[in-house]
Amino acid sequence: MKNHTVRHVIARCLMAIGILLLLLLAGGAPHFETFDAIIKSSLGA
Amino acid sequence: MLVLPITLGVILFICTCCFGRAGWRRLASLELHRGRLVVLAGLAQLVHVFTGQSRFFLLILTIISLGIFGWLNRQLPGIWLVALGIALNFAVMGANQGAMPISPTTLAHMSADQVEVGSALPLSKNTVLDDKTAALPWLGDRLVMPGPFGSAVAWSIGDLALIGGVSRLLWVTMGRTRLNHHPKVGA
Repeated sequence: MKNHTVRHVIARCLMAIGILLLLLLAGGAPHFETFDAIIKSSLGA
Repeated sequence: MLVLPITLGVILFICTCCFGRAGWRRLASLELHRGRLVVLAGLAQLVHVFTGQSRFFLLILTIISLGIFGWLNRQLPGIWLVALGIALNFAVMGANQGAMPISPTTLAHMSADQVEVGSALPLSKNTVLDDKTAALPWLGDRLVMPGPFGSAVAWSIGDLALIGGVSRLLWVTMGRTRLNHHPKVGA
């Protein structure tokens, strides 16, 4: 019973964190860091 | 793609230090209605970033999905700040054909390479636009962190409001002294 409760809490927390992470992503927050690598690849293309 | 998980991780670390394990139990009680809409919006943004196609359509889809999600969860603390951040970001992206403008000056802080104005950065929602060319340039990605992390990523005012809203939501949720009953909306 106790393990089930702990698993339930972990699952609910992970779900909330996942949704909030996707909310940040979808809301326009920066997706990728290190623009340097991105710029280098665009110059090399 | 670490900047967002690290940002969220820092917020959760601070909340954990302040509220302990009880905070995580309270987080488990958080009810986010229609979370699938956020998943849809997130997928739309990923398609936008990876393909660069149908930018405007994907932007509209994201706005509708997040708008409905925000409305259904409007009673949660911090959601209004999240909505403000999203509105600011999408206002500037909508005004610039679905792309987030980043100025050459900001880019110079982050990379020694010169990129032509008007270039879309691959694997990014950004397009290099100077203040004369961009619409609503002050809402674009122009804020960089000081120190060694300054070259990692550029933020916008909308990003700060968005992160502020999520921070408030987590802080209030994890720090509650008693469980508040949130009536189910749109269930």
